[in-house]
Amino acid sequence: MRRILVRPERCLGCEACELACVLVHSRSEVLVEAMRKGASGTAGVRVHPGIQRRSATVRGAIGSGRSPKAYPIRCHQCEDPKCVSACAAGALEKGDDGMVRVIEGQCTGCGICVMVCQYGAILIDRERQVAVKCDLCMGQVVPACVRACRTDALVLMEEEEGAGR
Amino acid sequence: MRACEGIRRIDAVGTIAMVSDERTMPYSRCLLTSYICGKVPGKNLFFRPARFYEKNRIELLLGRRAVSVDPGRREIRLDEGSVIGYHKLLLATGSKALLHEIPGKDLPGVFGLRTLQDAEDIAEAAATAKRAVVMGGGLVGLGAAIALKMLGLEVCVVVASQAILSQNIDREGARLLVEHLERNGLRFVFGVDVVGIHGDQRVKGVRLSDGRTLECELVVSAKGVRLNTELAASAGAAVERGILVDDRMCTTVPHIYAAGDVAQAKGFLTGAREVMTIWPVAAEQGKVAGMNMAGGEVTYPGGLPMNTVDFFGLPVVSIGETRQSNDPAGLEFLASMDPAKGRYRKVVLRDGQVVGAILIGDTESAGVYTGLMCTRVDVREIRGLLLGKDFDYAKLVDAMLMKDPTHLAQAPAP
Repeated sequence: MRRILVRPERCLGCEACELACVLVHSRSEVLVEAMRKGASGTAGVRVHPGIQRRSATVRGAIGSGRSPKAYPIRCHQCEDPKCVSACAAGALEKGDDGMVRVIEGQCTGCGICVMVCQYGAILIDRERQVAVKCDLCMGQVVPACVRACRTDALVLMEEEEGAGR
Repeated sequence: MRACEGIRRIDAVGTIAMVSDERTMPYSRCLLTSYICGKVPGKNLFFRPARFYEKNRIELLLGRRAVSVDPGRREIRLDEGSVIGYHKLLLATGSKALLHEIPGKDLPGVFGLRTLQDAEDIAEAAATAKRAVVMGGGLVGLGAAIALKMLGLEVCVVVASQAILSQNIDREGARLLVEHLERNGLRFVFGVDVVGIHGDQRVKGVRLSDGRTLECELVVSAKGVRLNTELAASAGAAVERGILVDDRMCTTVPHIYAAGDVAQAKGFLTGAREVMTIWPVAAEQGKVAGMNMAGGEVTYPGGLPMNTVDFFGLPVVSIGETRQSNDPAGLEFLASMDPAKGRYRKVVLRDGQVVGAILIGDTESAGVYTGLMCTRVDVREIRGLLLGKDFDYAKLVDAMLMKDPTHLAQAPAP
């Protein structure tokens, strides 16, 4: 099972992970565009006027909490995920690979998952009415956030683990 | 459905049969109002596709009603007379819409809203109706009212009390929401009841307790539910408001379990046994019951009331102890209201622990409050952060984890 571990003591709050996450999940793959308008409708990073960008969005919720000590928020791929159990649309599943994923055609964006995730790692894309969360950059050997992290505060863990469910 | 998943986690080979008096595979009642207005297509209502039941070898006995249980012989009897034996039995019989005894309640055009059939009937009636009256200002009533409004009907909501969502939020939040809903075209009348429904072939209007009448072609009654406890009673299981279950979701009768709306199980905040008719709680109970039925040893941590709704684009979340408090002793309230932005946030503390939260407008960090409730962390030192617009898990980590990393260990369920 793949899981992104955080070593908070190494995080400087540079937000390179968040930018990388936005970029890799954007359609345009042009960072400026992706950040400005949330990548041609795929998602929206929230940039609060006058305040630094806070946590994160765009499919993978990776970001940093800025204040003195930063911490990237991301999905923990919980062993027994509350979001999967609570989903009222049967739109979240924990795969045999251990990853918790959103089945987009099934998701209605109702927000129950947001309400039960204690890590705040799932958000609703209001425009598309669908839940967005970390997808471990499917198809890539190493997730973009991990690749982007210069201080090794984010590490990819590969755990041998038999029956996931 | 979640119970079947729970059983299969522990036991891959035992036989499972699921009896339902409805003719469809398990579907999401939470989504029915979205289905009425066409936001959710019918196929998306089903939690799992048909192949899920095949793959897990769950025999679906649909359109059949279980009428009695014989716990001595470990058998249930179905309506057409057949008998099924069991090793373990789960009663997840849910609840039904409560239709109050008022004259005219059986007229065509008067509906409860509980089943897929109800939703289909309402959608069909809405196609020709112009005006609707919804009885009840709870989540189901407001959901139905919004769906009907989105279909282009004029909708009036009749609320017996003085505030909407009295089971979910406080008056300040309710006021903000009523203003928002009225701006979006819903009408409300408060402090009155519907005392009669009139019409010849179909509904033509309702009469209110203050003497007024409202003309309409469609009535939805959403005044609470009645729990389907008859089967449990036939088995001799103890029933209060719901079927009493222990922390393993077992009833007072051996080998018989109960979960969902119909169960009266431990509440996480109170420790007392409560009925909570919400999906996340039902799902968790089902899972625990299923695992224990298959021989597991799983303890139910207790349910936490929580709801999330979208009112014409305005998200609303309530978690835990959030009702208007008549007895505020021992509780501390933190609140911030921004009516212009449609934003309200309230956090309820008891002994320095978060026991409730209302979020209107900005609900992204809702889960973090849930986490705080589940972990029973003392938040007195960080109470200044709790109402912040930018409050999120990172703030919490910053404030607490650095001090004591054990604080935020994986929370127990709800």
